[in-house]
Amino acid sequence: MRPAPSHRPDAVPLAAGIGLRHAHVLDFLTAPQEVSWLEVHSENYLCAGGPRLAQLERIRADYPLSCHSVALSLGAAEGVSPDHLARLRALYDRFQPGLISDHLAWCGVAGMHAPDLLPLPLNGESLDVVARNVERVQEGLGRRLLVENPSLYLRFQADEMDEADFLAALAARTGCGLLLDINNLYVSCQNRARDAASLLARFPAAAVGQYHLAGHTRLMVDDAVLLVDDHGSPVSDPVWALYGQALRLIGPRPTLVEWDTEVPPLPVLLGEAAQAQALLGEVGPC
Amino acid sequence: MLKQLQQAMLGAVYGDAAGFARVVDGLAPAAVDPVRALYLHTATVTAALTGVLAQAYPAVHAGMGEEAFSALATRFARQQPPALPVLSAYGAGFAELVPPALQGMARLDWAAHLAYFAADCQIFSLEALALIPPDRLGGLDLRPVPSTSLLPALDPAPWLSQRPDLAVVINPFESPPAGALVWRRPDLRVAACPLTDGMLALLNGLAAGLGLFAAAESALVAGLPDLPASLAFLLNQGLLTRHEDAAP
Repeated sequence: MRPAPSHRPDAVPLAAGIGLRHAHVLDFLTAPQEVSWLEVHSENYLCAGGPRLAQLERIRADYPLSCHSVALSLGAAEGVSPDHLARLRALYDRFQPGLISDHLAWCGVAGMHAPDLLPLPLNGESLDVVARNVERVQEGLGRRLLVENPSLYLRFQADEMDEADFLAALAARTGCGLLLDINNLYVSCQNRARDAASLLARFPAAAVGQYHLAGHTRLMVDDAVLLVDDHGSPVSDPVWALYGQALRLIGPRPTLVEWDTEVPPLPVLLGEAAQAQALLGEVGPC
Repeated sequence: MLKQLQQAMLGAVYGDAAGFARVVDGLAPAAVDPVRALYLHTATVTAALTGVLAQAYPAVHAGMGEEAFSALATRFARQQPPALPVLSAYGAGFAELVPPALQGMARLDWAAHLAYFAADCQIFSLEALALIPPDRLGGLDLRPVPSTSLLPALDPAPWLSQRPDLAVVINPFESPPAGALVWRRPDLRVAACPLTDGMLALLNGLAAGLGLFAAAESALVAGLPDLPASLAFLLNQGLLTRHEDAAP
């Protein structure tokens, strides 16, 4: 059994956690659950008041929390929104997450937002933009940010480097950490005809502060396969294998299992987290 | 360069053919046709916003059916993309696009959506009222709680039958119905009930900051039959807060 709930635990432990989804909130409010920590999508809690914030307050009292935002738009050439930074700062000051993260992506310009993680060319110009934005975010939030590798479906003619080199340079320049999403790495490499294992080996281990795991789906597009990062199924075998490799090469880190579409009953998600926990246990502490 | 690319790609995901073509020009060949791969982002944005609108307008969604609702949501998303990355605030103008027969439901759906996310505040109770000295009662500045919406000329009954997620509150002063009242109760459930002209006048007066007696006077003129019982109903339902206790 999970230990008796403590009061507002702050640090995210070196263990497996799950993404807290609305469908499971009642499970957490009515009984302790066997999971070491939880992650929420920050933007889902950017409201003035009401049940969501009240429920998160209650759950936060018992579980370490990571806040994962999806709309900082770190890759936006126009820069990050000071208003959005202020909203997130208020949320993080209230809930005191042990980890915060967002994506190597962008999602809007000039007062127009798109709810997707849009890609940007991986080159020097983009690196300058993202580094400037990450510095502004870390200063504005007063916390170290973990930047996640997103799932990629496109390659730009203007690409000059791969994700590992780009994120390593970003971490070195800004002091940010990295959230290594193993499923995204696998999906991107499959879609862009790259070898995931060799790319993984070039991620800067010291900067990696968290792993994500999730399911994806296979689409046949004409005669080619496109993997889509839909977070709607169990973690696939190749992703589990890649995770094992990451644990050996980079080391154990807090690991999150995400499931966002076709959300299953909580025990199914907890089972996925237990599998991640077992792999973490095989590697042992850092 | 990056700024121009991003403007084109944002256009592309909202259906702008010229923007789509500009982005495709800069893509490298891959096993999957880059046009099809880029379209995945357009489809993701459309699906996400359709889902957001379906959550905000469940009765309209049920009334229109999946296909018609999705088509309308896509049209709305392209006409009025979100300005902010806070999607709980997205969709205010959608009611104007829905078929006329469902516009009342759309306004009620949106009121319930706003109530769910509205600011918390200190509720002013019947017990608290009893502690106010009689000579202070007249100027007491009570306001509807921030989650309150008053919707004149809308009977909420047909809508409530489509919204089992909401609390249906029996208002003893609801006949003849002159409008709908939607708010979030202290137990955090969104609730709704019909309103009479008199109750509507009382709440409108309080919302305008008239003070208790002046608001009551306007309600009595509008036909409110029983002021003490009406006030007790509002207080017991957690509908009022002192002005100084309302969240900014």
